[in-house]
Amino acid sequence: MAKTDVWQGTLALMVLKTLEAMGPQHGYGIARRIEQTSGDLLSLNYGTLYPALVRLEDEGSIASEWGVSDNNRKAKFYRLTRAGKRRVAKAADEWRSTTSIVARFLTPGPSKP
Amino acid sequence: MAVDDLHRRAVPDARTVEAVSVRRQARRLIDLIAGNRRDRDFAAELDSHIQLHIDDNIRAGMTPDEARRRALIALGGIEQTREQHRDGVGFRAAADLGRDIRTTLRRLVRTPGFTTAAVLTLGIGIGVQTAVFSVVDGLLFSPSPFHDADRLVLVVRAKARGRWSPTIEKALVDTLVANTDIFEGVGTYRLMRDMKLAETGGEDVRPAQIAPGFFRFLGVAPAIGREFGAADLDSPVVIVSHAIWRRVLAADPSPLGRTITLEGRRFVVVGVMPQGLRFPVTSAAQVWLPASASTDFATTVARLSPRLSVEEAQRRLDVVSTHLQDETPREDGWGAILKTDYELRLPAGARALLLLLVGAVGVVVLIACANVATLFISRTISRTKELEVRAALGASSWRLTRHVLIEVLIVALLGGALALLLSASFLDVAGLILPPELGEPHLNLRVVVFTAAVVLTAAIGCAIGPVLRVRRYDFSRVISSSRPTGSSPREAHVHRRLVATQLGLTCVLLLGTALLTNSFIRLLSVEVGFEPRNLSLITIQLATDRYPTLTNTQDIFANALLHAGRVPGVIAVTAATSVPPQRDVFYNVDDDAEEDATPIQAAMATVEPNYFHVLQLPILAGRSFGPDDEPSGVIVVNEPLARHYWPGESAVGKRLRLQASDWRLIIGVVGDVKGNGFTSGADRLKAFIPFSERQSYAWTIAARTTGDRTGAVAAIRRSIDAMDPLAVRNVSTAEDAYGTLLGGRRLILGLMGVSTAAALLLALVGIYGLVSAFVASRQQELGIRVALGATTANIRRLVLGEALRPAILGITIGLATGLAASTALRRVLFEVSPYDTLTAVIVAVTLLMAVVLVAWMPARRAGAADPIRALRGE
Repeated sequence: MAKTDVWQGTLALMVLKTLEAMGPQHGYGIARRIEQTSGDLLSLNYGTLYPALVRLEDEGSIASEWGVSDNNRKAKFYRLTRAGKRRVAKAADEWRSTTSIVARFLTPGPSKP
Repeated sequence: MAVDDLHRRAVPDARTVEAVSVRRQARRLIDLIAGNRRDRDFAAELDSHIQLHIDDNIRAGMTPDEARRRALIALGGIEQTREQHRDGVGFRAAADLGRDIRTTLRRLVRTPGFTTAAVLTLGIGIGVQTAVFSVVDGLLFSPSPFHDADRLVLVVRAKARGRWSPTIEKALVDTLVANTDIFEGVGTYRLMRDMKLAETGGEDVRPAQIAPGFFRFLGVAPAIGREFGAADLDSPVVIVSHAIWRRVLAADPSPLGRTITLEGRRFVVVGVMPQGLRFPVTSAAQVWLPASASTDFATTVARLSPRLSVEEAQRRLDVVSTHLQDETPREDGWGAILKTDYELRLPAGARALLLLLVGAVGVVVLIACANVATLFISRTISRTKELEVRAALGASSWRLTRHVLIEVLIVALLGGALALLLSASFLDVAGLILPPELGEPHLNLRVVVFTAAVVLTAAIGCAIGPVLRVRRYDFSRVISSSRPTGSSPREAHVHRRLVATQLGLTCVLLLGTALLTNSFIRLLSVEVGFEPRNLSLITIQLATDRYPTLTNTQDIFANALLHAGRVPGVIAVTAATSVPPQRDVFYNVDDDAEEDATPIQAAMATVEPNYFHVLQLPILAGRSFGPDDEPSGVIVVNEPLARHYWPGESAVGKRLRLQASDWRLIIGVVGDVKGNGFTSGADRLKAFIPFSERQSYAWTIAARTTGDRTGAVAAIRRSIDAMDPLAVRNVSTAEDAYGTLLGGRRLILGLMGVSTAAALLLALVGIYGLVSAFVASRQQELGIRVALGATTANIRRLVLGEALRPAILGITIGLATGLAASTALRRVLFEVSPYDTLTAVIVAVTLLMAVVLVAWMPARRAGAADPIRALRGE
């Protein structure tokens, strides 16, 4: 199965969800986690992650600070803010309802006579 | 810096990946300078990202090189990621701007010819404008500092036949004030002769005496300290001008109590006037001394009652004067005249000359505008291909326009800086070379900003058009073709018209300057009619309170002459009521030919018998006055007066009458002298009569000296001061007096000359640009012509024609405009008609020759072009 490109707009949700699950994490860690979670089905160009991080930080969903990674490397760590937590819940709900609506169109329903 | 250090330690080898590490470092430096911490921070984050990935990859068993390669591939390139990051952050615009500025700077440096020309043009244009405006601003455009300046008038003494004298008796003013309600208040001042200021090594400063409360009356107050009160009348106190405070007192913030030394006496500073305050307006005093308001022969300023026109006030004043004359008749009447211009405002003639100058400078700026505009147009045209490629690659038209705007702005900033430098260095020396009447001009930033804005708007307006044009192209065609990127016919047309306008404007200026120069040369070469060299003039005026009757003046008159004649170094000494170029009084004169002939007006001087001899004024017929002549029965006339009444025959022996009194016998005819009616050029009718008993309130001693004149003049002055310290009003030489008459003209002419030279230079640069652009854009066509058999001369003629067509058009229009405009010069020209054909022809020929000279170089280049290369296209 060919790898799928990340859809526009879904990356932010993935980042938020990842941070919610893992706690504070650096950009590289987030990227790897998204790849792993998708079962390596997503081809994520790591570079595209950063604009998303910047946007999220600008809108106040996440905050960042420099810290030291597990193997003692200097790295910039991102964490969810309170506003970010609210947003994850809301965005996840929206996403679920959107996908379920789309799914109804895609699932072959009982055909009308 | 901490982050940078960290990153260097963390990823020592990541940097080697970057092939363009130098450029990166340069950008990092710029980011650093720009305070772009976010960009720097992100660079560190990226490095950390890569390092983390490399660590993981190595753990997975890759070699370090492979690990780094994979990490970079996964990231998608460092530069790309940074670009994306910038987009996300939203400082894309700022980064682009920075890049555009850097690109533009590089481009400007790569084309030093264009950059120098544009910056110089702007710098000269704005610089000249700023310098001239800074000088005339205080005189022409600054609002009057005085309270309700419209209501201020000068009250002068009316003399017979519409003449007047600037000083008026205190008693008369008091009577008029008491008998009318037209004045709200009066104040008096007296301009004094220049005094030596010891602090600056004996520089002449101009003092004026003012009565206590005079500045309050005018509605101005000292910037520091106070003005004079009644208690100051006999104290050695002084109020200084802002310029003197700055220069002599070194702008001391607490100057009160310090002293300055005038004519050897120490004066305590009690006040400093605000910057730009000129009083009297026409001959700005630099220091003010206290004087009693009751001094006679002071000048009287009055403030008219509100809502009263000067004409109405004068009418009411006349009624009172007539009434007073009826009640108590006086020989010289009770008349007074209200004057609004003399000393309070700039005289109309001076105003006209200054405005002329402002106009000339305005023309220079216009030409500079046109030049900068053409420069930018040709630059944009020569960049057409580059712009087209950029547009095809997706640059928005705004981005392209912005490029041009940035370029214009940078050039304007550089030009403005140059202009500031030029005008500041001019104003530095201006205080020394300008006559003190102009005050001490200071840099006028208002003008710099205004002019820069005008020039900029013009340049931007001209440059945007070609840029926007780029949008309309069919890019695929444009890029693939090797079409020459010359100017379109319409643009070439605009260019030609701009150049024609420039030449027209230059022509107007050149014509004006040529007329003024012509006039000035005639003024310089004019024979004044006597020998003004080594002739010292000492003007004496006696106060009526010390000398109640004319008889009282006899002693001091005779003694002054006697002492002056004995001073070593004085060859001869004489006296007269006026010595050229001093002002004369005018009398009615008539001859006995016809009983009821209308009398004519002639200048009149009362003179000592040796007057003609001492002045070396030639006696053409007859003789001077002798001891046997009855003073009231003889007269000497000048040649124009003799010619007026008795053309073709001798005037000696004929009779003349002054003021319809007794007949006088003409005993001599003398040569004509150019007095202060200099500028009119008209022959002056003049008559001379002898002093009777050497009695007069005002006269001038003229001493012909040899060797050092200062010692001799000082000795004469001492002898007069010993008799009456208030008597001497002025000391000068005849030569200096003539020089002063010409000084203002010399200055205006000099400034006009500078403006015209700047205009000519700029216009010629414009022509050169036009022709060069023509040659550049037609290279292919010219090559074809040569290939088809055109000779070098043919090509040259074609190129010269390109320059000459707009030149002839411009010069023709310029001459017509100039001739029409120079009517305005009529009043300031001396013995030159504003429609002087020869001047016009010379101007036209000079301009044409200059155009041909300038166009010759590109024409020669075009003629020598290799047709094969030209035909090949590139």
